[in-house]
Amino acid sequence: MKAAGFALRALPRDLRSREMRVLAMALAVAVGALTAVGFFTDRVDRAMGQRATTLIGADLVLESDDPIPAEWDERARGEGLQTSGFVTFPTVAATEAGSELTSVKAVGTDYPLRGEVLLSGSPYGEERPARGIPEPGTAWLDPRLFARLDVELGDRIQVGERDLRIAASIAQEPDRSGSLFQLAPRLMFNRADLESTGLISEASRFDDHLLVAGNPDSLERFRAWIDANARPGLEVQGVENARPEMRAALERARAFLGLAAIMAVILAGAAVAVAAHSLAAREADASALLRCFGAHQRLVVTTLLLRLSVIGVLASAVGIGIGWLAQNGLVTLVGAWFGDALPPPSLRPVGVGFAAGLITLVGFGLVPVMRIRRVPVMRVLQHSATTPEPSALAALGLAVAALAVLVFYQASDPALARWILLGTLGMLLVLGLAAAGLVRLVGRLRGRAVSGWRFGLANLARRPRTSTVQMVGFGLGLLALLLLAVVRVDVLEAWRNDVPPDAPNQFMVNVQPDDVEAVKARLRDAGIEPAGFYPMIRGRLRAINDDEIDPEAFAEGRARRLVEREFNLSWAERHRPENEIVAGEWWSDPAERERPALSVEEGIADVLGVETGDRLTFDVAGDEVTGEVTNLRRVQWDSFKVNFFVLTTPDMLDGAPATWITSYYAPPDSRSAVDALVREFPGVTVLNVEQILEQVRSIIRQGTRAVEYVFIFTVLAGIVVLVAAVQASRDERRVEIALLRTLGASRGRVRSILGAEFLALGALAGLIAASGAALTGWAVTDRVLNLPYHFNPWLFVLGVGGGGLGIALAGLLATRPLLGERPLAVLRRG
Amino acid sequence: MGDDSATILKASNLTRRVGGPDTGLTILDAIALEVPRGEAVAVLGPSGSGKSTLLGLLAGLDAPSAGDVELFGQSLSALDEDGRAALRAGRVGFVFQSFQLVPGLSALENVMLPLELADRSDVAATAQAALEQVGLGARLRHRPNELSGGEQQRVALARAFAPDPQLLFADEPTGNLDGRTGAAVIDRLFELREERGTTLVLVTHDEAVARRCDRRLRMDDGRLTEAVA
Repeated sequence: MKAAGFALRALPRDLRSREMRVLAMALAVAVGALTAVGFFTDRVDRAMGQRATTLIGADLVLESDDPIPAEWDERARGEGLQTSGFVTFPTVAATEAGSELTSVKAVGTDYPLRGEVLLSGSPYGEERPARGIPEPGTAWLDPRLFARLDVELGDRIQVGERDLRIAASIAQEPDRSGSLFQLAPRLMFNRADLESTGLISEASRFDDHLLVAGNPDSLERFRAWIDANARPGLEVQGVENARPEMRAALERARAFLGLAAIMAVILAGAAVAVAAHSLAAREADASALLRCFGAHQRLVVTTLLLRLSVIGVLASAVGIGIGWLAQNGLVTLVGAWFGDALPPPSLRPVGVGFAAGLITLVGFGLVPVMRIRRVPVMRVLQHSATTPEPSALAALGLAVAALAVLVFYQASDPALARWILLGTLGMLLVLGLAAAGLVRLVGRLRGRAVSGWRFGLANLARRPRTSTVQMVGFGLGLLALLLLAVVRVDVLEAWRNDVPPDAPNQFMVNVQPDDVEAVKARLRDAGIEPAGFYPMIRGRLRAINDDEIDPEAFAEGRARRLVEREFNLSWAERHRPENEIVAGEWWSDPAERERPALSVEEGIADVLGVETGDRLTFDVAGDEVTGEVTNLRRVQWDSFKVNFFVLTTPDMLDGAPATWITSYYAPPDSRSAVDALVREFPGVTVLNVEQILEQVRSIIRQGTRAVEYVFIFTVLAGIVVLVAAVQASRDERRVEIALLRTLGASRGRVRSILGAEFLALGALAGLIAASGAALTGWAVTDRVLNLPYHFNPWLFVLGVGGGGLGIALAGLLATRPLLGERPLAVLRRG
Repeated sequence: MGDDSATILKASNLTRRVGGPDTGLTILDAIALEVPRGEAVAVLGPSGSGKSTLLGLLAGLDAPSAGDVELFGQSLSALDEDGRAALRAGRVGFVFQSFQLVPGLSALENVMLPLELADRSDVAATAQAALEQVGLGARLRHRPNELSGGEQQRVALARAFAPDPQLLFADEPTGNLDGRTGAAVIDRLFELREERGTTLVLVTHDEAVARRCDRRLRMDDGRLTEAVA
C-alpha cells in the first residue's frame, strides 16, 4: 500500500523524467510495431480463412460415390445453414467435328456458396463473374473444348441423350483444385438437365457433393452429426489452405512483417535497457535517502517497480493505440489482396500488446533497474559511494529470454525464431566485443593525436564501460538505419525479382513427342520463348522400399490424396540450378545416370516420409519401375516454371509413354497465335495462370510497401536508442564540462573536445553497424528468404561517414545546453 | 528495547578499515563513545579525519570492520540492513551538508517522507506544521530547485524534526551555506532540539557551532578524544 502511494506520488515527476520518457517512448514503439502487425495479420488470417472457403466453394463439402440422402440436406437447413450441391462424372461429349472426354459438373441452385465462377464470351477472353448457374438447356465449357470440338458460343453439344446450347467459356471455377493437369476439360450444366441426359443410373460411376455454408456454431453441430452418422465412402472436406503459390508469397510477406516488427522490438529493448540503467543511477540518491530514513529495501524496490509498471502500462496503451492506427495504414496499402473489405480484427492483439510491453520492460529493464537494491546507504554522507554495476550476464540472459518469447510468438516458426535469436545474440556479442576492442585501441592511439582529439579520445578510453555501452547503443541505432536505407532496398528488390515481369503466365501440356519441334517453332514465330520443354509421364506410386502402398494407411488429407492419384514423373540429365539440392547428390556423373535413381521434392518427401536411400516403385503404363532416391530438391513453386515432385534418370523411364510440357510468357498480343496453335494441335492444352501470377505479384508489390511501412517503427526505435545513448552520459558530461570550463577551456575548445569524442564514437559505431548490416542482409536474404544476396559497398561509406557526422551533430546538440551552465553551480551540486 | 535507559547511543571498539591487510588504511581506530539521552555532542576534526564515516557507522548506514554500535540499546551488528533501517524509522533524524532533498518532490512531500515511512497518522498536517515552524509555511508546494540554499536546509530541518526523533545526526549542516544563512539555520536547529529534548550528534569543523553543544569530541587520525574547552 505504502509503495503504491509513493509510486502514485512519483507519477507526475516520472512523466517529466527524461529517463522515463525515453523508456516509455521505446516501449510505445515496440508495442506499436508488434500490435500494428498483430492487428493486421489477425485481419489477414480471418480473411484467409474466409478466402480459403472460396477454394472449396463452401465452408464444408460432403463428397460421396453414392447419392447423398435428402435427409442430410434437410438436417443442414434445419441448422440454419445454406446448402447447394453438384454431381460430377466423366463422359464423352460430341459435336459434328468429333467427341472428347469431359468432366461433367451438374450444378444445383446457389452453386457456389463461397467464391464465384468466372466466365468469358470466348475461350481465354475477357473475364466476368457468372450470374447464377447455367440456364436449363445450356452448358458452360472449358476453353480447351472449343478448339478440340471446333465449336463456338451458340453451337450445340451432345451430352448423353441431351442436346445443350453452349452459353459461355469457363475462365475460373472456385473449387477446382490445383491439380489442373489431371482433369479432363470441364463441362458444366444445370442439375435440372441431369436426368434427361440419361447418364445417371444405379450402375454408373459418379460423385455426389453437398455444399454447406453458414455460421461456425451451426457448422460445428452439423459436422458433429455427420461424423456420427457418416458411412464408408463419404469424404468431408473442410476449409483447406490457399493455393501453394499464393501461400508461399503470403508466408513471405508475413515473415517480412514479423521481422520488421521484431527488429523494432530489439532496438526498443536496447533503449529500455539504457534508459533503465540511467534511471537506476538517477534514483540512487533518493533510494539511499529512503533507506536512511528507515525504509525497507523491499519498499524501495517495490516502489520503483510499481512506477515502472505504471509507465509500462501507459506506454503500452499508447503503443496499442498507435498500432491500431498504424494497421489501418497497412490495410490501406494491402487491402486489395482481399478485395476492399478486410474483416475487423479480434481483441487478441490488445492483450498481446500489453503482454509484449511487459515482457520487453521486464526482459530489458529489470536487471539494470534492480541495481537500485545495491545502492550503499552511506551515499547520503559520501556521494562517492557508488552502486555496483549489474551483472552483464544476467542482463543479457533475461533480455534473450524475453526476446525468445516474443520471437517465438511472432515468428511461429521455430527455425526462423532460432535464426533471429542467434543472429541478435551474435550481433550483440560482436558489437560488444568490437566496441570494447576499438575503445582499447583508441586508448593506445590517443598519445599520437593532437589538440581536441587527444582529449576527446582520452575521454573515450577513460570510461571504457560507458564508451562500450554507448558504442553498442549507437551501433544498434545506426544498424537499424543502415538496414533500412540500404539492405531493405536490396532485399525487397530481390523479392520483387522473384517473380520477374516475364515470368511464365501460361503452361502448355499434352504436347506429343513428334509435335515438340513444331510447337517450339510456332511459339517462336509468335515471339514467345518457352522456358524449356520437359517430358511428363504418368505413374502411380506402388511401394516405398518393400512396403506396398495402402492409401488407408496414410493420414487423411494431402498424403492420402497424393498416393491415391497418379504422379507426374519426368526425367532429366542435368540439374536445374534454381532447384536447390537439400540432401544427397544429383546424378552429375554419366555413369550414375545409368542406374535407376530418383530426385524427390523435399516437401512431398516429408509428407510421404521418404528419405534418400529409400526405393520407390511406380506403376507406369502397366510396368513397374523402381529407383533409389539419391537426392531431395527444394522447388520454388512461385517461380511459375514447370517443376515436378519426382524426377528420374533418363534411362529409367526409357520407352514409357510421355507427353511434353512447357511454360512461357505470352504477351497479350500473342493470344490469337496461341489460339491458332491450339487449333493446329488439338491435343495440346493451354493453361492460363495469368490471374494467379497477378495475385502473387500484387501480394509482393503491396507486401513490399507494407514492410517499408512497418520499418518506420524500426527507424523510430533506432532513433530512441540513439537518444537514450546520448542521454545516458549527460549527467557525467555535465560535471566534466564544468571542470574543463573551470580549468580555463573556452567554449570552443570544449566543443572541439566533445566533437572529437562523438565523431570517433559515431564513426566507430558506424563501422561496426555497417559490418552488422551486411551480415544481417546476407542472413535475411540468403537464409530466411532463400534469395540471392549482393554486397553493397555503400553500407560502409554511409555507416562510417554518416555515423560519425550524425552522432557528432546529435551529441553536440544534446550537450549544447550543458555548455551554457555556470560551472560553479554544477560543481556544487556534484 | 531499552528506550528508557540513560544511554541512547554506545560505540565500542568501533573500527573501520579499507583496502587489504598490508596496504589497507585505518579510517576509524577502536572508537569508544557513549551518548546519554538528551545530550548534544559535537564531533570536530579536519577534512578527511573520518567524521562522516563515524556518523554513518553510528547511524547504522554502513557496517564496521570491527566493534559494535548499540542504538536505543539494540546492537546493530545483530541486525541486517533492513533491521537497522527499521530501527531508525521515525526515531532517528538526519540533516546533511548537501541537504539531500528529493528533487521531484515539493517541500511538503519531502517532509512527509519520513513520517510516512514511520507509519505516522496525520502525515500532511504534521509536515505542514513542521514547515511552518521553520518559517516556510508559504512555500509548501515549492520544489527544491525553486528554493534557496538556506530554505532548502530549513526544509531539511523540518523533515528531520517532523517525526519527533529521539536522536538527530547532523553532518556539517552549514557546510554549503554562507555565514549568515548558516548561523540562522544552526539557531533554528538548536531551538528545535531544546524544545523537544532531542539527542544530537553533530559533525562540524566550526568551533563556534561546536561550542553550543554539551560535549565536544575531536577526531584525529582515526581516533576520538575529548576536546579541551
